[in-house]
Amino acid sequence: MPTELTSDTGSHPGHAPGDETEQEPVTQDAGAEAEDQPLPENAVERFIAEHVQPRRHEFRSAEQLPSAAQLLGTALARRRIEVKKIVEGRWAFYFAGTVIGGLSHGLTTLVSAHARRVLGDAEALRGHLKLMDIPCAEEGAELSGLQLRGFVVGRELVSMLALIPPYEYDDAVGGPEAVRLLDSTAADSGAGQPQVIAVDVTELVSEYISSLAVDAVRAVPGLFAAGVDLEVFSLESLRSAVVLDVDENADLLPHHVPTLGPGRDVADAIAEQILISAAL
Amino acid sequence: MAQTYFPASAPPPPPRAQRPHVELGSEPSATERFIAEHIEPRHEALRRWSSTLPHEELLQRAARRKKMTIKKITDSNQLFFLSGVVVGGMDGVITSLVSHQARRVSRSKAMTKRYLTASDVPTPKGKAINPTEFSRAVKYLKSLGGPVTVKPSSGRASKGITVNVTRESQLRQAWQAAMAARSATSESRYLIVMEEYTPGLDLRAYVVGSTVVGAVARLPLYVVGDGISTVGSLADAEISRRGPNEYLKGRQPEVTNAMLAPLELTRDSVLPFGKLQPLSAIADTTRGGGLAVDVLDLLADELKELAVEGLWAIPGLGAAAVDLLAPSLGSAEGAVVLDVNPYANIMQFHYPAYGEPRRVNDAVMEEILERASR
Repeated sequence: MPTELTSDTGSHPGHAPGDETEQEPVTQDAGAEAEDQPLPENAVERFIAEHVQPRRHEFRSAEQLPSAAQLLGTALARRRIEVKKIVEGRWAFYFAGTVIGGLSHGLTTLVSAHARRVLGDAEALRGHLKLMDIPCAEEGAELSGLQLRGFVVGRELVSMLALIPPYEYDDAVGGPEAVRLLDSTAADSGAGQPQVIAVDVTELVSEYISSLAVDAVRAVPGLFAAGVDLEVFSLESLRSAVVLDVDENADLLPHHVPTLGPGRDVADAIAEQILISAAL
Repeated sequence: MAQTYFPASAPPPPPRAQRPHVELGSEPSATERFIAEHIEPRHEALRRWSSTLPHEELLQRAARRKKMTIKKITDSNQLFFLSGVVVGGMDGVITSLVSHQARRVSRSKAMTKRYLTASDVPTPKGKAINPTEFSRAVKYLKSLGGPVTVKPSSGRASKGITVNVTRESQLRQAWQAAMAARSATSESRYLIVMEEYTPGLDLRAYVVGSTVVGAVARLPLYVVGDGISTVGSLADAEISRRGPNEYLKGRQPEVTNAMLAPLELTRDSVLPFGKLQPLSAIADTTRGGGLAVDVLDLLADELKELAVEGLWAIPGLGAAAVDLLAPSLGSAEGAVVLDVNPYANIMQFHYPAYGEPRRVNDAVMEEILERASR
């Protein structure tokens, strides 16, 4: 769940009043820092130093993982939703003998045909986001912030991951300066790091960032479950945060089994939303 | 009593010709019975629509009535807002009530059949065959042992459909017609569906959520013989009669000998007095002179339930037209679902040739709002 601000004075979550260290400036704007403050540098390195390196020993190792379809099937079965195969790649979901949804080539019925068409065209998606005053990255923009990948179901952010490349850390130096990002394509499998390190930050992101993800999905008509890619410079602030993409075909698995963190049951939220959408 | 005075030079006006009373044959079809019972008695009461709104505009007006605002991203991509929140949209002619899966299913009659069958919704037995496998089609015709309907698996607007095919020679013609109906936008995997021919009244129900909000019987262009007039003159008179109906005006065919040939008629044929003669085998309401007659209040509850079951068999489909064939309006016995079509134009429910107009557009918008609130 997103970290709640304790008051409108913008006191930094997790810090007691009067704490002089790393206080964010006071602002009236939701989640925004004062415009004259410089943009935080090394957002990725800072995140790694603060949230990842201290828990590096908790990284999940490669294990036998279920498929996204299996995860969804289990979640549906828990709700006594029967899954019937129609033809290869297409299933219908039945509850008490009534079709309440389905899955077709990886997409549930929580994705409308209209949404599918919009999301298939990056420019169309940008048009929708801009219409709703949702900040989005321009085509070809260079990314320098922290990449987040959220999964929104209905009107809720169910899971948020920070995606970082493999890195080296110099204990002698410490802090963000100790982090050296590696090229993910050149990751040494022998060192045990995955090509992308997915960190569960669902509890760490502010409600403003959660809302940004939810708003991005809601800007697309008939879309009730999707992944959202964001670029942020702080987990608390919306300043310079942009939506990079909305993906109706986002993989559930990294949310369930991230490299670091507890993981979130996105499949369960999808199954619940399917029931809600059927209004049974 | 005043006497009517006619100057010696002017002949008296001829008595107005009465429309012949329809004489049904020994085994009238469900369509012919419906025409005789429900249309002929009120033949002159054809609706006169002085102006009409197209499908898209009907939906837009309903959206505005419900206090939604509409923003166009492009001509084919529109969003519906309520209090600043996106509640739905339109992608071409379909709304956001149509899931991606439902759209893909509806593009193939063969796939639609599979979903209907999986949900135990009665639908004619049939299969989809590759157009290059005509010999398979011949075998299948023989194996079914009765008349078949041949139609493209994808495609709309009654194109390429042939009914009551019984012989190989007919099948060959029907096959060619189905292949010719393939449009440039068809998917590369183009199939032809053969299914048992089920006679019945052609019905189209518009289902929104779990309610039938509109229902029309679709009738082919027909004439009634008077023993004197030719088929051509009867057809021309009928088409002319429809002129004041703005909805029907642009949807009439040119009745030619080629059109009448499958019926073994020509424009010069004279029909016996009272003979009801459809001028096409199927009710083409798009360009074939077919009529859509409102029957919502006449439709049995069990037929409405069947239509709803048809819609619900397609996952993630909140609104669509469900096409049925039914032996009668009063019962679902023997009725089948032919197709479920989210692309259906709602105009024929708003502008029926006979009967009451139905506000399908309002029902669609209400459903959009209701789903957005879930």
